[in-house]
Amino acid sequence: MRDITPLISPRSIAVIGASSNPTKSGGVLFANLVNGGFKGPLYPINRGAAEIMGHKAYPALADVPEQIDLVYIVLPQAHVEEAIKQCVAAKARSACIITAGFSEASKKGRIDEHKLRRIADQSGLLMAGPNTIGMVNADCGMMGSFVNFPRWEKGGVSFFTQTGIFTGAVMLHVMSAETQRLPVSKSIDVGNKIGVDEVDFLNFIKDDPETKVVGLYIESVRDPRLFLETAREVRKTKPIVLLKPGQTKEGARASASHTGSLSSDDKILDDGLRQYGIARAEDEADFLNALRALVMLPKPMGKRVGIATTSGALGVISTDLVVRGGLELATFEPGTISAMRTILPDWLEPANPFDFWIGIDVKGPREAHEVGLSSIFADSNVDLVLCTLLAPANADFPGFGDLMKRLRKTYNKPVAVAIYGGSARSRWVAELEGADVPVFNTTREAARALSLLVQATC
Amino acid sequence: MMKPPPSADIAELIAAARAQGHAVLSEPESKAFLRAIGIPIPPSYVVTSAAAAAEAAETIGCPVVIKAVSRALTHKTDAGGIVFPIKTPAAAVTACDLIAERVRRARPDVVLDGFLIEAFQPAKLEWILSLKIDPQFGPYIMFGLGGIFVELLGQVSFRLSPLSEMDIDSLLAEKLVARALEGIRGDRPANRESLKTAIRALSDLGARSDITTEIAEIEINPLIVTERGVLALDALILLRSRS
Repeated sequence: MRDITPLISPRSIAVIGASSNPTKSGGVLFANLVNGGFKGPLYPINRGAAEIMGHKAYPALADVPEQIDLVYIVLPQAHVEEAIKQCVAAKARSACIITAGFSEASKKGRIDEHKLRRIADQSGLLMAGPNTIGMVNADCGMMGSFVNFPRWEKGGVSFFTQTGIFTGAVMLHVMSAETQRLPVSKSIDVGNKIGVDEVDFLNFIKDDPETKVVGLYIESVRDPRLFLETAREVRKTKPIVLLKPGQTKEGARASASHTGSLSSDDKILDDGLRQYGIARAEDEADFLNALRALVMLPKPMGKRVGIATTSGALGVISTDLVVRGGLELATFEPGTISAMRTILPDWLEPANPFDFWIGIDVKGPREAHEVGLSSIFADSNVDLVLCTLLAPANADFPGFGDLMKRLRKTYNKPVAVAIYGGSARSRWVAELEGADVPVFNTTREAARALSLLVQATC
Repeated sequence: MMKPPPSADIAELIAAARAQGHAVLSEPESKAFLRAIGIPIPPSYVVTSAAAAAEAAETIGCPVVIKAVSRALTHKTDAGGIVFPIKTPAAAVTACDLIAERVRRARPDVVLDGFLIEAFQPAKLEWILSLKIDPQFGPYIMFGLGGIFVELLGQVSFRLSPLSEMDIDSLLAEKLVARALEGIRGDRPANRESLKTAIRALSDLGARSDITTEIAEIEINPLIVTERGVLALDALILLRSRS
């Protein structure tokens, strides 16, 4: 097992290809490191400059007076191999190759990449990339990316990704959200993954005090068994969500027996993930939704769901989604039923899902929501709460956010919310800011987030 | 000449096949292996002549099933190597001749080692249970609907070995499995404990390095699961190649 701390949490950084040109990747990346407030020495490597953004520049890595933890390489493809050799010669502890144009691009790129891999293997240099947007570690102020994230929300989620620009796009999307922003500690994009891999990352993250939840985007698992075993260890304290596309291609494994041709690797991996309690997301929205639920919500005590709704249709839809997602419908206690009766007309018998729309007519929106929601939260047969609510003008009332905040805090149960339509919707969502109540675009997304929460924690 | 399947411990079975340069255990050897790890198999005899087949059928009691025995014949049904139900000892003679003829036509390369005469066990539902030592995933268990429909239906689940009791329960709780084990079309509920014991037996093998270095795969297909318990109707054990 190797320690990848120098790569993820470096004490010193050099940037080969740093410049003061804001139109070049090397210029942007260096500026991001400076403006991001990196908490250690920064060494721009540039033959032509005396200093860049107030930092003394060095003509070559060998000229830097200390041993460097991490070297970013932002150079044209043809110069990368030479730069990596410099890293090895200068005994740098790790390198992150931003440059693209390797195995993802061409046959020549594949050959070039193989050379880099050999150098890494022989020298022990920790390597991320090539073809990456870089790495962010909010805890040491390392904004090591050529994508700028001016609104980074620091928090408990850490990402490991094996991709090019996708990570940047996802992070930008996450950080540009007005509400419900995902708080991120670290985002490590290893690009084509020729060096450091998912197992290295998991071994690091296991003892990382800032990380509460782990998100992995992986295109290929290097050692599936080791990965699953390591993930199972990490998962004891930090839930993991995996997004791994490519779930197709059944069969095609040569074997003398029948089994070989039907056991597609992905099905084994999929079942293995389930067995070891690693949640698997289906797409990027599913991935981010699950992470948001995991970082905001406590571990559920079980998988019995209480559904609160103001639409009969959404109640039925929710029921299907809950059951299909491997969760169960809670059976309400008698006390809950009695409490629910107080906002319904005599002829209506409360049930799960609890649709209290008519209570708005009977008791007004505030009392209907107050009783409707709190009776479900309070029920000891309810492990998780799914709220799918309508917000037209006549259902609106001041204090929706306070009500939800109070319930969330009092009962400390996982809850997922979907709110439809109406002028009040955006205000309700805004009122939930800081309440650790995740809001989703649809009932399906809310129900699914609860399923993945259970898979990842129970 | 009539003899029951070899009874030996599993290390001896593996060593014997290795000594003869085989990478596959024959069906009788594979079944002896299963019996040695506590997985029930039907009463059976291996014979080398049609006359002996009749005698074996008499001893076991009809109906019986007769199968071609050869390591090279891993897909017996495809080569016409199975005949059932055989209702009289006389029919056993005809069946052996028929099998020999069909295999000769379908697989001229195969030399039969003999015939396996086995008590006939009708089953509505056939299952597949296997342990595979995968270069990527290590040892894992596969369980699901088997028989000749495995490939068509693909209703199988995987668990990495070793399986916890919870993992075994979750295998039996998979939707289709759970419903089938309750008993279909008037059948009594299946003996779940016997099934769990069989899964556990294979899973335990996956945790033994003396096994995982020797064996590539143990496949029971079909396995039948009734109220009386499980029974391995066919089995195939592949050894790891030594290259």
